[in-house]
Amino acid sequence: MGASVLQVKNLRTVLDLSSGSVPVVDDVSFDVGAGETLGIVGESGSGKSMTALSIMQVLPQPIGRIESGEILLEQTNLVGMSDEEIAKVRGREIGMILQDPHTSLNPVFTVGNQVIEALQINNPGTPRRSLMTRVVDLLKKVNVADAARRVHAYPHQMSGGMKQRVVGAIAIAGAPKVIIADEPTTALDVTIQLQYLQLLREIQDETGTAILFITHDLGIVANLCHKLVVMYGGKIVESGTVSDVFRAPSHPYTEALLNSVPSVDQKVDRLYAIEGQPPALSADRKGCSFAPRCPYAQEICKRDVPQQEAGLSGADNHFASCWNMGRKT
Amino acid sequence: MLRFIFTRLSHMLIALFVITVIVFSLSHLTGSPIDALLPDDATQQQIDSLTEHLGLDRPYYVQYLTFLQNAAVGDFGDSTKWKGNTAAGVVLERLPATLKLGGLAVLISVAVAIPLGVLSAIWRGSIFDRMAGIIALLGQSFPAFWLGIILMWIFAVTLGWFPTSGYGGLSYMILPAIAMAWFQIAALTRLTRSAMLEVLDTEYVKLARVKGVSERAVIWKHAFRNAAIVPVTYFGVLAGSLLTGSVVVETVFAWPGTGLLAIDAIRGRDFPVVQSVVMFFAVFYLLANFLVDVLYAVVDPRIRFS
Repeated sequence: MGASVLQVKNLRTVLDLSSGSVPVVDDVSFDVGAGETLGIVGESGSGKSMTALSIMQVLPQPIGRIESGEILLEQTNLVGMSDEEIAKVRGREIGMILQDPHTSLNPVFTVGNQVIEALQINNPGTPRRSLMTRVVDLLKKVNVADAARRVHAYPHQMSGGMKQRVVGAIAIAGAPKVIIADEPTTALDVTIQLQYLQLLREIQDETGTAILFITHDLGIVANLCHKLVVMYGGKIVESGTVSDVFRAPSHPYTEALLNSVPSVDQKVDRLYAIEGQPPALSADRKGCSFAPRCPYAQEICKRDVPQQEAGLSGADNHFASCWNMGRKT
Repeated sequence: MLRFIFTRLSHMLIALFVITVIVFSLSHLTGSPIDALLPDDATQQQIDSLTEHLGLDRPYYVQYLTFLQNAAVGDFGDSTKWKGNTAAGVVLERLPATLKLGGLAVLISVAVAIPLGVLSAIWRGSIFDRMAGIIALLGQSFPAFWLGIILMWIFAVTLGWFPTSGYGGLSYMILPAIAMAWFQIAALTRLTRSAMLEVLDTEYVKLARVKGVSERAVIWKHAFRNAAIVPVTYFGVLAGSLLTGSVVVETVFAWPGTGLLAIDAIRGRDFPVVQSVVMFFAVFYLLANFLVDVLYAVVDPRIRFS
């Protein structure tokens, strides 16, 4: 694990809705080092994808904007960069894999063309022909069978798993220092999911890239990630190494998430589900956003926002934000 | 691709067949041409002899087959109003004027509406977008004949920039072309805008952005190529309605095209000419839509390969 490649500090992203500015990412900080995989876990609407879009600065326009905080890519702050500058970071420094392979490739261009485009951005002026051989190499690297022929295929002629491999090839075309994978396996069959995760791991071993893996699947986190942050209502509620957090979850939400993962060892009649709904977007919020669903909630939880404290596992990089740490009964 | 074109061509032939049936039946519904050709005091013998001469005593299917046979070689009989000319000849003579005016109107529509639609999608909610919305609203509210008269009044009569009406070079064509194009600009702008908004929201546009594609290429290469399906679809309607719309605008501006011809022929009960105008319009419509189908396949590989 090298020095941190990507460091996010006190990031706050808001959506300017008619009802006011609503924070969707609120005071989020984490860092990820070379060769390291950080999992960002949370339900839909927890702000995990918005965090990714903030880093790439492709927030929904015109309503989304970064209000404050820093995003440091090896000491360079991406926040406040001009459009031209940030365009040079995208693809070259940070690659991204989106959730649904069926919609993330452009239907009117061949997959070869779409990979070539990524290569052209990183190697301006290189003739197309010489890039074509590199496209085939890239597709081979992501295990696309019959790559030399597949470069001429259109997305609708490929399976979901194959398309997601192409998206992966696009992401690594610029040899980025960081790859952000936003639920890349959610839309794939379970068997293909495992192959894809294996592929990501191989790419990481080979290139030493840092990976930011966004998911709601704790099984994948246990499998793939070194560290994780758990997000709820736009905030990080718990963070730490995967082994510390899984061994001693300190936030009730993390605990509830772990409880709702089915286990093959234990036979239960009914799978545990967290009561209630994730918080709706709203401008004014008081207290801990998990309080309405939290079995341990007290008066203070509804009144004041809990501060981040070291968790219970004893590790100094394991944090959680909860009023009840150590007081749970 | 060849199979695709072949299928479309065969569809076109079926449509053409249906159109000939309709044209043939309609011309019989409007009454016997004998009444128009002979004076009111014609004798029964004169009526019978003309009926026999024109073949109107034969069964309808025989008449239809004869009509079809002649139509296939472009023979719609002789014009009754413009004596000494074939009906098709009269139409062909007027066709270039209509095609010139319609072509200019198509050009203006596309050249204005596509950028307007794309830019108002990109700058959604801006002043520009609202102005484009107003232009579109006005275009869809003004009837072409009224707009033609107003344009004539302002730019020809008051300002004297253009001739009021008649046939001639570009200066004669501009006002009628604008009168024809405005409604189409309105429709095409709104269609392009909403298609672009939809496409700009897709994941593949997001992926193009995150892979570092410049904003200009994102819009014109990735997004517009996909959104283009909608304006291309409308192009078929556009080309067709500019021809049929020419009937109104050509009358207002006294532009001697097929539209004006159609009006004159209808007034003069010159059925061969009316029939050939309708057939020409129909064939033109079909060709425009065939072109649209081919363009579809060029734009979208999913259509090409299915």
